[in-house]
Amino acid sequence: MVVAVSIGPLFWQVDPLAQHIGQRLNPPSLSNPLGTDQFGRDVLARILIGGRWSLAGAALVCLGTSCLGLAIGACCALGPRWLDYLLSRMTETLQAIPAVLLALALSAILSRSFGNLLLALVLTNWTWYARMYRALIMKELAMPYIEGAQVIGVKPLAILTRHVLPNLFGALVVVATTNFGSVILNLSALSFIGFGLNPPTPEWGNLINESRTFFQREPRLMIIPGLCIATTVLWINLLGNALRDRVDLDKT
Amino acid sequence: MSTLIRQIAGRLLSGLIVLWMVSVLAFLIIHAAPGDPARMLLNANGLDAPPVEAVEAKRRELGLDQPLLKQYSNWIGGIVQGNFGNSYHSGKPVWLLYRERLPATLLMAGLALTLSLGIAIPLGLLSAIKRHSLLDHAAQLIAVIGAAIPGFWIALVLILVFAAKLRWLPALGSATFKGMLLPAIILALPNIALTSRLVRATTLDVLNQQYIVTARAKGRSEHGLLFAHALPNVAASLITPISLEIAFLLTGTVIIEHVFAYPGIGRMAVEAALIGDMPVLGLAVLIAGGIYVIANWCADLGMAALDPRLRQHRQS
Repeated sequence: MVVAVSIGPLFWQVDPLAQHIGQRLNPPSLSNPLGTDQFGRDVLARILIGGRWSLAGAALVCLGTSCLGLAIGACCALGPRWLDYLLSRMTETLQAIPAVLLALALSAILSRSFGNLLLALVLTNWTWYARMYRALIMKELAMPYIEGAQVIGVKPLAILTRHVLPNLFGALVVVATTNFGSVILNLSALSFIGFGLNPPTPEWGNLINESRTFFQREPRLMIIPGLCIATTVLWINLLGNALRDRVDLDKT
Repeated sequence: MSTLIRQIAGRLLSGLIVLWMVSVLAFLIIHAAPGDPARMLLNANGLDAPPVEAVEAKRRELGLDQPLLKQYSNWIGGIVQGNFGNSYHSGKPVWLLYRERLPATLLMAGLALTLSLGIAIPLGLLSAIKRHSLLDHAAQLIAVIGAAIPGFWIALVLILVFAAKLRWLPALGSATFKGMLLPAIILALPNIALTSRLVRATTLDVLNQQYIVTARAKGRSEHGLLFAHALPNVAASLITPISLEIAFLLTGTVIIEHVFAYPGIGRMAVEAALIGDMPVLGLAVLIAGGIYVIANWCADLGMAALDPRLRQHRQS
């Protein structure tokens, strides 16, 4: 699926925005393998381009949350105890409020755009990472070799960047992969209810939203993007599980 | 002071701190929004282009000319007295709007919780006892697929099948049993997937403990083994995740209520976000935070009640 949306548009060079009013809601045919939508636009092209937005957006969110979560987690693990307590309560506070609700509130405050939607998702998702990294870094810091490094006078920041982080890299990838799927789901859900990209631009979530008015006549328009989301998330989750098993095996 | 009491006091305190931070966040959400609250409230009361003096007077009345800290303490003071502010859209007090909508959401979430626990717990137990059976594999497959399907999409698919094609259930949600069945099922689905796997893992974990082996060696029947020895421990370790699940059911309601146009607080929150009605959103944040903290407290107390190991500290 990832390969399909990244190289697919190169092979299927149909303009996803081109409207052909005469060919509205056509069933699948040779020239439009998945048919056309209510404006006569090619569905396959829209799915492929839409997938780019969905996946690239979710990847950016994962990257942002990883960085933020790692930074906060490191502050918790290395900083003084009061800082740890304060930051832990802050992460708990953000976890107390449903991420979707908070993202809704943030996108109501910020102007409505795709970038701000991603920002809202980063700001609401990092808590999970922070907790995870805090625990992981603390576990790593308890290792004898860290004590050895401290004894020979390596500075705390150097211990973190030179010794702890390289060892955490595997865990980092696993954490981001397992979270990637749920980010795709959240992103498409918010874009489905009308936050994010504005209509002419396709994205899997808003493709489903646009199909709602026609879905009794043309269920195809609603079912295809949903299947795309589901299969993508399914494979990513399976990949995450496989990676997790691999990393856990390495540790024992 | 015993460790247990100190522990509970510590949890209570951090819950209170979280609650306070939630209130700060809700306050900031209300105040960081673009637009002038005074003007929006006057518009909501029917004045399309209010005169400048009226806006100024309203600003003074709302205390918007005071420093932010003072505004926060005024706001908190109002909340303690049950005054949550007025909606920018309808001009009505926000708590009135919630009093109308909250029962519908609670009913639906309650139905969803009953469904999810009623299915997930037996399913998880059975897959643990009959490990690697057909049922276990089927349950696993469903759980993996269930976690990948977007809720709003499966909602539309089910509407298409059960409402549009078969005409068994209404497509639009309402606070009747038939009207909330479909949204409740969809709300329960991801929880069924998650909880049944959790029950399975916990049960397997408990069944592998040595005291179970001992009991089995002493000739205890498999039935007695499961119900008298294993289940209490499974229940104790499930309290925390299940109480968090209750809190997160409410997350799901936001999107699902929007899809079904269900008259609950989730849909109200989406509408409020789309038109920038911040006091409504602010209270939604407060309610969600409150439910989370209370669910956490209940989980802690439930753990203390169910797990004798936590109580023994007091006697020794």
